[in-house]
Amino acid sequence: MKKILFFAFLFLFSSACLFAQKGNYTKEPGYVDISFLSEYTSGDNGSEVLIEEGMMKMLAQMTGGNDSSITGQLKAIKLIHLISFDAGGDVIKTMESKIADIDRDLLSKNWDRIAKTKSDKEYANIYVKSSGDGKFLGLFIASVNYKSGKTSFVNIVGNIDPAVIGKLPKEWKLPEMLKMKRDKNNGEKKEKED
Amino acid sequence: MNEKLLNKIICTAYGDASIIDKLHVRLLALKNKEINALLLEYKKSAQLVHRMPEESVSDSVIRRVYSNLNLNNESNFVLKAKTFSFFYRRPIAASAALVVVSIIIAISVFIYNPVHKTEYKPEEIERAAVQANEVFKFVNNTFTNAGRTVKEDVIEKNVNKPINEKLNTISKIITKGEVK
Repeated sequence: MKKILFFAFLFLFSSACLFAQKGNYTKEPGYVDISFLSEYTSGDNGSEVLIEEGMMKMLAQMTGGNDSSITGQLKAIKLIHLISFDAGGDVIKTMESKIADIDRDLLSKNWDRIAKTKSDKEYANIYVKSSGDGKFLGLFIASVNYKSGKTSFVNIVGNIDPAVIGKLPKEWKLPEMLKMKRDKNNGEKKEKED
Repeated sequence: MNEKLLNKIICTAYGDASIIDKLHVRLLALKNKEINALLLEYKKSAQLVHRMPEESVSDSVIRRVYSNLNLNNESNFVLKAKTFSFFYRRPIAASAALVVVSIIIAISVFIYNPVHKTEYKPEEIERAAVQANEVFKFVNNTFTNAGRTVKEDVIEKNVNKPINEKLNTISKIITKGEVK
């Protein structure tokens, strides 16, 4: 009977572990929970972007092997989470206090604050989560623009190379190519209709 | 004593009762001497029954018994009973079955990886690519702005400007010949 119980427990435990792996990025050390800020993106006031591992792998595959560092970086990203909205008046003060709360929380969880800048125009904090062997496992940015009121929070989870992230906006051609392809397809459809 | 309680006592004595029934009967036996005596008596009978050796009977005999009892689906019953007894009486067989099932589940989960097999619509892919690029742009801009703020607001205003002012003052003093 003890054997049955042991194997039953082993079976349940292993299944639980296997199913827990499915798309669960919340357990990653580079993950920061900013879902509580979603309420500020209601209506046209803001936007939220959530791109998970599966999609990043798909984008990496489509990018191909012209630049292996770009493909490798896209593959290594497990989550991109952006919350951005216009905060006016008192909301900016609330956001400053929320950023201060996040700051305390992240520093207590051994995140490194690599930049904390405050000027008349902007207040921005940049954090990275290090693995201890020279790798970055997560990136977090919180910023408030005092002039426009635009407040943004970004969390990128996975092995991150800041140098590659820096060159992505200029050298990653896939978004442009996909746009061009869509425009071309739309043009062909229109021609056929005419 | 009602029939239900008597059944519970017999089941407890023969070891077939549920845990709750066993506890119930034991508690009653502690309180009531008559129940205790009855339980002991049935236990003795149960021990005698359990000591009896199992006789192996051929399937043809079992079939004949069932046909005499006018039971048509005896073979089904025997099969079910055998299957049940195989798993119930042999923990190793049950454990092995569990291990096989868990291995099958593990293999199927590893082979079927939903992360890779999710199908996306072209529009979803394009939207994700554009959005990801926007995020990368934002990250890049924040890095650049942070660097600029350090350069312009911190170094220029708080370091360079005061140093220049001091240097100008020193220069004026030197020019006027106040320093001998």
